[in-house]
Amino acid sequence: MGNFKLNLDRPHPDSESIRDRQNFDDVLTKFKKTQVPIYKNPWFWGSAGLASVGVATMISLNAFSNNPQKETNDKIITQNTLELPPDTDCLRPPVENEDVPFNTFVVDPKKGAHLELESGTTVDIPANSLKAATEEPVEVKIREFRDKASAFVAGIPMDYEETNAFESAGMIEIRGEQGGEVVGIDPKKAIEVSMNCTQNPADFAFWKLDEKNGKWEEHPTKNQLAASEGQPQEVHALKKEIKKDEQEIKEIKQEISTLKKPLPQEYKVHTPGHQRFDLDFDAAVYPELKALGDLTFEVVPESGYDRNFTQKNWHNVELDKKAGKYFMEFSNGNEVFEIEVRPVLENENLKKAESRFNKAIDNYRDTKVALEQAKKEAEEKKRQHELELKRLMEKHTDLQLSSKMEEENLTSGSIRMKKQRLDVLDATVDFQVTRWGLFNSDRPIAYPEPLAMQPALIWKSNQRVTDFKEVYVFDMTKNARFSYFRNAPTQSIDQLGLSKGSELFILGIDSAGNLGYCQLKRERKGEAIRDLAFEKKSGTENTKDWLKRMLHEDEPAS
Amino acid sequence: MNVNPLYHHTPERLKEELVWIQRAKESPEHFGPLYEKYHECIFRYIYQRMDDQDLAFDVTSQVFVKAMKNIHRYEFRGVPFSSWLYRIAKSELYQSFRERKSERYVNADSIQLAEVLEEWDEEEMEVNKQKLLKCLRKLKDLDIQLLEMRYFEKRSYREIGEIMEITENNAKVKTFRALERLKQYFNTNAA
Repeated sequence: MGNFKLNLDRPHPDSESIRDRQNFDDVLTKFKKTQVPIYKNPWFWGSAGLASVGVATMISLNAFSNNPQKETNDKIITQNTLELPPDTDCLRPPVENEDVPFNTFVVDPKKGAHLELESGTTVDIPANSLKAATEEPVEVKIREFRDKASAFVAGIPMDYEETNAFESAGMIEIRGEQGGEVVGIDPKKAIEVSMNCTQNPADFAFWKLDEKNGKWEEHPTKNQLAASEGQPQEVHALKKEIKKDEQEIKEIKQEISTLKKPLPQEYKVHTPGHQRFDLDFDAAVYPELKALGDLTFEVVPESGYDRNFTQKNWHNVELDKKAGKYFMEFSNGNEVFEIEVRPVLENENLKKAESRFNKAIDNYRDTKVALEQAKKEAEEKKRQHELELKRLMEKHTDLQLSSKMEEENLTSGSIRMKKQRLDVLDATVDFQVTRWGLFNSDRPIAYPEPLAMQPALIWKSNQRVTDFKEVYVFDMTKNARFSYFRNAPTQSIDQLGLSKGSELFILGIDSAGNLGYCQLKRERKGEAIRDLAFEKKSGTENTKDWLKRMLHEDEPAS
Repeated sequence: MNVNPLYHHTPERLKEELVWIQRAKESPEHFGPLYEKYHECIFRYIYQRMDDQDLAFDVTSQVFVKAMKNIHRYEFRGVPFSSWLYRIAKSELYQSFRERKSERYVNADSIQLAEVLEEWDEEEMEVNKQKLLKCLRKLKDLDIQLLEMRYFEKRSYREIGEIMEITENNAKVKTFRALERLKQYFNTNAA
């Protein structure tokens, strides 16, 4: 749903009043103020100027040394912001007014940037990779989720298909915008990310969140790319584009096939002398008549019409349709009389109906032509992508051949060392970004079986049953969360499952937004749990910090 | 459908405008004719999307400052100068929403709503207009942008395409779809 307010019939300012506010001199003055920074003046680059730069650089380096983010580009500044871009509908923070802030980096799109986060994760944005409307700086927003608490507070979906939750080794969200508008990324100059993980990423798969449906899709890492025939990222990006093109073509074809051509409505021009009735009918039952507008019903004289019926009193009259013909049914309790009628139009009503039909036909033709054209465009786009893919694949095959020959010729040297390095896994996962979003090094783990006897969920303070709308089970030994919702088709609160052996932290949110929690360790399978008593979260501590504390994630990792 | 005369140039006027652009590239003082020509339409575009008239004038000024700053980048490739300005305006508008925490507005007229209803063969009654307004609130931002440009600002598909950086036909198809979604909400009483 769009986030906007609606005004109806606000007066339009007239052109004169707008012209009165024109002030080119003012605009020119503002423009001049933005021009020629002092360091661009030639005189500045004298010895005095260079000395000033040295002093200024030292001051700024000192200032930045206190900042948790490390930057290697002195044009980058960082700030925390809670604002989310509009395309993240599937991220719904469960606690009102709480979210995980982004680190915002201001990047010159022409120069690109090397960004370093506190965790050690690096993000390399090549020069001219960001496709923005102007040359103005682009805001690159990044946040990492390295623990259960932050992923929970940000509302990151952690389910995979219907029966699995994700155990995470690290997650990163990257966005880019200019003046509130999302900027593009040149697929030929992908952003390179080296994400520092909390566990060995070799044991985890790598995913990207599809923000249209809230589902995770596998995303290739650079190691995977190197292993899987070394296909470059461009190839994967193109294959994805082709899939998208195919989907678009399919959708357009579907739209064309469901387009309904308006059929000329059955109506007659009124025949002078024929008896007519003005009758209210249900437009929902007779949409074809509604489309004709103001019409009357004329008696069909050939239908054996007996005028004598007008001498009687009738209590009710209704329109009926049988075998494509319309009938007026008169009734008075004892007797029923039926005559065939036909819808007739005349004068203005006739003209209106004709113009409405012509408009509907024009609209149908316009839509059809536009859709056919869109189909052609999509097919052409697909053809171009396929050609590009073919070209890339040929180039890639050539490169592979020459690399193989080179390797055979080398008795020692860099290639073998490079290969060895690939085998050594460290705690980072490297991947390329050509579309903004949320990336995740995760592995699916099955939801535990629902307990045979479901425990009562109660408040500890008054022993009353709670009305939780959401319940989350955190496994203290894993970076995993199992989510249960009231009346959900799968993973419903009344189908709660609790793994045995692990220490569990259970968090519930009731309809009023109160947070309750309890801790539990099931020693053995089949152990009956009669009730789970929840304590209310008290105090004003924000949920992320509180949850980190409760989950022992605030302690330094061993 | 009205036609925006500023958008549909004759070849002579287009030539004249290219001369102005060239001059403005050489010296910002020569940007004046372009400012005078497009000030009103850019202001209307911005004011259509916000509620504060003074702020709309400020943002309009900012659009022209940005345009003057970036005019060296503008190259005529069949895309009118106005659509380049609209793109800057769009960017400045969202910047303003963020910086000043002001809200995005959609401004519609009863007559325009009546036109939409007429297109659907629905009666132009007050109750239907209110229902339509409720349905508009259900639409996503992209759909609103398209319908706003087409029905509330009377822009051609070509112009919408230029502003949205999509093809004219794509603008047409996307607008049809947006209208269809609106109609579905209307018919299913989803409002």
